[in-house]
Amino acid sequence: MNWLVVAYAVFWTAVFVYTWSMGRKQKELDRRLDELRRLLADQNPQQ
Amino acid sequence: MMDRTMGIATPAAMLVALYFALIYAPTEATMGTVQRIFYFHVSAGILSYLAFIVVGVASVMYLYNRELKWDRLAYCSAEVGVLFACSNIVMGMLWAKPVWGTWWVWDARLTLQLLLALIFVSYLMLGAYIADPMKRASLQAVFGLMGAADVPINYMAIRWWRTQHPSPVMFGGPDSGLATPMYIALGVAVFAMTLLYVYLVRKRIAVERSSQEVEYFEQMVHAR
Amino acid sequence: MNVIAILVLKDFMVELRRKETVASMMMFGLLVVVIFSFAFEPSGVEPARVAPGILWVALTFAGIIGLNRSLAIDLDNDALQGLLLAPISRGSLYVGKVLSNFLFMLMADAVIFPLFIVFNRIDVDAGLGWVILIGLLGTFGFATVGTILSAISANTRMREVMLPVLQIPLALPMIISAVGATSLVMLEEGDGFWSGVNMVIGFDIIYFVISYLVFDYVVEE
Repeated sequence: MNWLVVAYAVFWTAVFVYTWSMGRKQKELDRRLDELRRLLADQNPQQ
Repeated sequence: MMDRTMGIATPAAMLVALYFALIYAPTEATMGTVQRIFYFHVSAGILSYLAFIVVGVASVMYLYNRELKWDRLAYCSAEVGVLFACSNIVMGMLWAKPVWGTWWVWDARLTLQLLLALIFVSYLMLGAYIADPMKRASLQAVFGLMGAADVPINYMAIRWWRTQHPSPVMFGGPDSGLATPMYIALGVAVFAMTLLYVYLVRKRIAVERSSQEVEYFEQMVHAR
Repeated sequence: MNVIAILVLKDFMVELRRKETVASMMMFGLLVVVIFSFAFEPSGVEPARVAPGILWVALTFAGIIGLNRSLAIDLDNDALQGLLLAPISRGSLYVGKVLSNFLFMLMADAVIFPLFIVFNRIDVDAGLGWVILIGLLGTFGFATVGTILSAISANTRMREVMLPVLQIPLALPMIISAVGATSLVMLEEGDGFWSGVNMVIGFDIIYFVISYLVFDYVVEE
């Protein structure tokens, strides 16, 4: 019984950690992208 | 829109699969409840094969028409495939411990699945060690294709070698039958796992796209 | 004269002048045989049971040493550029390189193998011909995969490390089959011998065809 719990716990943890780390990376990249866009817009406002 | 739908459908399907695996399916006679590892163990294994085949197909497509989206698909699918293959192996070990009394045997199926996972870890490493992006894409595509060719070889080898691991449940031969509710639970698990695979690959591709965009903008900023 | 023959001849001429690759393969393979035979000696296991594994580990590592040098020679003075500019198809370039790698490995194997038999006290009558057949097929498969992978790893940072990282997992299903078939011969159990040999042959064919088709993409600029 407990092996079953361990196996499923491992699987779900792996999936959650992977999904979460991806979400965090995405957020970080979006933030950086915003920053860069603003920086570019400041540099030449006519665009 | 598609992201939203997938974001709701995937966890829902996974929970349904969990219900089918833990409650709906009958308890197996000789092994008891531990046998319920089977549903997620097998479906993770199947999806790892699928992910690696996608790597092979996407690699061929990339070499054929040089569109970066194929390279991205191959790369991201390999990463998710490694995740599935590793969880397949770990769940298998946690099942083997109570049933066979040991974590690991050097049996054909276990060895080959481990090797398949290692091939694609090497594939990811290869990508990390090549500086030039165009060069990286085509060399990785070549290696991805060679790695994917290992999937059918594995599949045949399993049939030819004597093995302690039970024969494949599907298309395995006459002695590999399962009770119908078990088939249904496995089917649900495979379906949910497929959704999970698609969901993760889409998410991974989005990350890759953003990071390429960031790189591009960074070059623009530095160019001034 | 045939283009492929010329390419192989070129590699032999280079090797004859430098005398690096084959000698280092022989030495390294020999050391592996010595270390393993020595390490397993106190365990008291019958040599025929561990010998196939020792033999294939030696051939594998000796092969890796040779492959690491094979393309490096062409890269050193940009000789590869010259080859790519010559009116030769990339396929013939690949076949030529596979053949010369294969022949170099065989030369090293020809020294490693007799010493392996002596050190492990192998009974010479026990299907020696079959062992040699598996050795030829396995070495060919190793050269097939290794040639293209050495071209891939030549483009990476840390190329000497990258080659075994790429090659060993990919070649291992074939090597395991070869070890299995070899030990069946040495223990004089016929059952399952051909399924091992068929695995090796299948591997050789599949990877030879794939590598032949995609070699172009590896060496392109």
